Formats: sequence, C-alpha cells, structure tokens
Amino acid sequence: MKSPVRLLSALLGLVALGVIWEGLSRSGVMSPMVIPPLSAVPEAFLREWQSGIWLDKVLASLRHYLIGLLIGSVLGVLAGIVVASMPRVEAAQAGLVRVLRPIPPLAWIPFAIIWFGVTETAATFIIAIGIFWINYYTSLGAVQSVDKGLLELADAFGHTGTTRQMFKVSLPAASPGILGGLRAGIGQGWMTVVAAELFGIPGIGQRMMDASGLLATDVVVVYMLTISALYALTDTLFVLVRNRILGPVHTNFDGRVAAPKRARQGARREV
Amino acid sequence: MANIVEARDLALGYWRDKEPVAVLSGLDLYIKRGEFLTLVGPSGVGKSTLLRAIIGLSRPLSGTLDVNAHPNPGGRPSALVFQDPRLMPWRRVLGNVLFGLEALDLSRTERVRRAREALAKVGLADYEKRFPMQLSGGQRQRVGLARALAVQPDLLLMDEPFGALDAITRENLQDQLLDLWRNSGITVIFVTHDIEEAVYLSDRVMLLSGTPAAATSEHRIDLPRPRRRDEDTMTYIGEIKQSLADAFQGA
Ligand SMILES: Nc1ncnc2c1ncn2[C@@H]1O[C@H](COP(=O)(O)OP(=O)(O)OP(=O)(O)O)[C@@H](O)[C@H]1O
Ligand SMILES: [Mg+2]
Repeated sequence: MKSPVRLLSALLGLVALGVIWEGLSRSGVMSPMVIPPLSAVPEAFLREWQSGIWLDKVLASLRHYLIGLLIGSVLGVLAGIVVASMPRVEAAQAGLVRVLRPIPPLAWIPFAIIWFGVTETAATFIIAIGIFWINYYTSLGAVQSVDKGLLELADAFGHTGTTRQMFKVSLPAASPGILGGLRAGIGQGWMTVVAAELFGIPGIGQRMMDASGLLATDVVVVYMLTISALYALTDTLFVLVRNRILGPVHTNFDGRVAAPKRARQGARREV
Repeated sequence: MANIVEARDLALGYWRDKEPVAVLSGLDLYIKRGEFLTLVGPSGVGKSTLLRAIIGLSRPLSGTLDVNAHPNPGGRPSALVFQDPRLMPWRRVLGNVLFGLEALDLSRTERVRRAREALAKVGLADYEKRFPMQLSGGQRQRVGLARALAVQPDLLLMDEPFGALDAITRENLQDQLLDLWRNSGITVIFVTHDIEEAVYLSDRVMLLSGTPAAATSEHRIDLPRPRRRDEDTMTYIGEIKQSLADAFQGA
C-alpha cells in the first residue's frame, strides 16, 4: 500500500474510535465513571498541566526510564557480546539464564522494595532488569549468528584474535540485531515504568493510581495517552538516530538499495 | 627450499562426532616457487579443502603440509580468493578491498592507493562507493579478487575466481593474471572447472579424483608463453578431458 493511503487509513481508524468513544459516553450508555467522555480529556490535561503536576510526574518517570534504559541497555549489550565471545562462559550461563530469564521484571518489585525501599532507585532497577534481558538476548544471539565464513575471511587475511575479530567483523555484522534489541528495550521500558511506579514511587504510574482512587478517570486517560506519546517520541528519536548514523548499514542488511537522497523520498521508510 | 608448498602423505577433511572424515588422503604435492598450478576435478572432490589447508584455515588430519611463502615488505605471504566472494555487506567496495590491507603495517594513504590500484585492475575503479548488495555476481567476485591482489601475496590461491564472468571479461582477466604472475614471480594455485582455462593458464594441471581423493593424474603444459588460444592448446584440452573422463569412471 502506498504510504499516503496508509496514513489516511490510520487517521480514519483513530477518528472512528474517538467518535464511538464520545458517542457512548454522551448517549449515557457508559457512565463517565467507567469511561470518561473523550471531550473531557483535554480539559483534564489542562488542569494537570496548569497545576504543574503533569510536568512533574513526566519528568520523574522520564528520569527512571532513561536511567533504567541506560543501565539495562549498556549492561545487556555488553554482557551479551562478552558472553558470546567466550564459549565456556556461554555454556555456564545457559542454566542460570534459564532460571532467571522467565521471571518478569515486575516480579522483582518485592525485592526492589526490600533492597531499595519505595524509592526512585527501586523503579529504575525494575525498568533496567526488563531492558537488560532483552538486550542481553538479542546481542548474544546477534553475535553468535555472525556468518562463520566472515570470521574465516578475517583469519585468512591476518585479522586474528578474538578481540580484533570482534571489532572488525562480529560487531559490525551484529549491529542490526543489537540495534533491534535496543529498540525493543525502548518499548519495553515504558511498559514497566508505569507498573514500577504503581507502588507509590513518584511518577506517572503513581499519579494514575491516585487518580483512579478518586475515580478521576479522565486524569487516568490523560496519562495513558501521555505514555503513548512518550513512547512514540522515544521510538521515533531512536529510529532517526539509527537511520542517520547507520543508514547505509541498514539499507544493505534489509536488502534494499541505498538510492541517492533525491530518489529515496518516494520510497517507504521502515519506521 | 625450492618448493613453496610440500605435502607428504597428506590427509585433509573434517571431524564428525570426533571421528576424522577424510576428503583427501595420501596426497603428495610439490609446488615449485613461481609455478602456476591448476587443480581440476569433480565437484566435491576436495579442491577448496586443499586451498583452505594451504592458507592455514584448517589443519591436516594426518601427514605433513609445509608452506614456505615469503611476504614482500608490506604484503602477505599468501592470499585466497574464496569460491563465494565472501564480502562484508556493511563495507563498501573500497572498504572490502581495504580489509586485508588493514592487517598490514601501511599508512592509510598507501592502503587506499593499493586498494584503488587493485580495483582498477579488475575493472571496478568506478564502483568503489557501492555496497556489495548493489553489484552483480561477477562484480562481487572481482571485488574478492581485488582484495587478494591488494595484499600482494607471494602465494596466490584462487578458487574458481572467474566462474561467474562473461567470456570477454574472463579472457581479459586471465591475461592480466598471467601478466601479473610473470612480472612479479609469485606462485599461483588455481582451481577451475574449465579445462581450457586450466590449460591456457598453467604450467601444470593436476587432477583430483576418488573418495577419499588423491592426485590421479598430472599434465605438464609445455606450451610456449605468452599463451595463445590455438590448436596446440586444444590438443592439451582434449588430453585432459580424456583423463578426466577416465577419472570419473574410476570414481
Ligand atoms: N564442514 C564440513 N562438514 C561436512 N562435510 C564437509 C565439510 N566441509 C567440506 N565437506 C565435504 O568435503 C568435500 C569436499 O569439499 P570441497 O569444498 O573441498 O569440494 P570442491 O572440490 O571444492 O568442490 P566444488 O568444485 O563443488 O567447489 C565435499 O564432499 C563436502 O561435502
Ligand atoms: Mg570448491
């Protein structure tokens, strides 16, 4: 499908949802307590904004999110790469990981609270854990599945030694996979950020919990949409950075031809 | 040692369930410094296996294999043109040719100069900014060739390097290869399925066949150099084809 048509369809879907939503609550089919009318949301947002709460909570959540993202991504990618290059360690981690990995990040909340109290550190820890595993697994897999023929090529042309081959061959070859993991982590982070704050750690999640206690459903929706927007923003930024810096790498791994700038405008970009 | 490669009672192959499986065995091979040797034989007989062992990518199952290539300053002792071009998709053409040079102690300018020179030799001077994905099969193969030429090896191993090329480009590259070989005094071990190509290029054509394989016959090509694609060449081609057919029947 051509992209303008796609965009239009996507917009139409959103508009339709809005119309049905508004209709349901205006006609009295749904009480505002169950679902607030859509038209009440901008007003609620304005209230949150003017009182300064919105910015406050968003900044707090962003802080947990960004620090957790940084820690989880860096450690996950590093651990994945290091383990992939050491067969012994790789074998040793298999059992451990089988036990730890299925534990969802939210299951760490009790320990997070015991270790760090109801603090920002606890929220950051929980976010970091989820992001860590995603990045660990994708980097490990990406480095392990590097074409053995290319490592052989490196041997044949005098690039010997694990570290050297890592930088000359494995990392560039694995970078699309590693970047895919980073992107998945960016999404996963927003899913855990709210849950991590539901326990009273200041942030969007805490505000939503408070609002729902007061049956202020319009406020809850304001923050739901806020998360959507924040996710869209971070993901778009990441894709922009990825395409800018590593553009040629990706166009080639995807099997697409890196056409000159002018010709590329008409082409659909994967976002 | 006058021989650049010496193999005695050599067995090559791979390991399956900790058991060696021989692809080639009982191979005796003496390659003189400066020789142009071509290996021919049925598909799967072990030609690539032998080249891989000579360049040091695999160890013999048994027997001895001595390689005595001397690098000239700023060059590699040996280089291999892989059967599949084996290019790195994230590097441009120039970057792929630079790959081998990056392991040598050369200045950046010198590397680029030599990479460009090698690309010009294979007729790809205008393609250095492309990615492998944007090349034809034959062009990719020529990038692999340029990568090996750029490191100026003393021993050049070529695994069906001209397989994917049209007749004219191929003849052109054959003649260039012969020029390079004559002018530089390097040793070439060449693999091809094309008997005419084998005869036209080589001092000696060696036939591998059997399972596990060994050198079944050998033909010294006593044609004068520079070579011509003439009747004498055709005579040799006929002879080798006959002995290949015998080898196939014996297998
Ligand atoms: N790692 C491996 N595992 C199992 N079999 C292998 C392995 N490597 C090579 N072989 C086998 O060894 C034999 C020789 O392979 P090789 O690539 O040397 O053949 P070749 O003479 O170069 O053939 P072609 O002309 O088709 O390129 C083949 O039968 C192949 O299947
Ligand atoms: Mg082969």
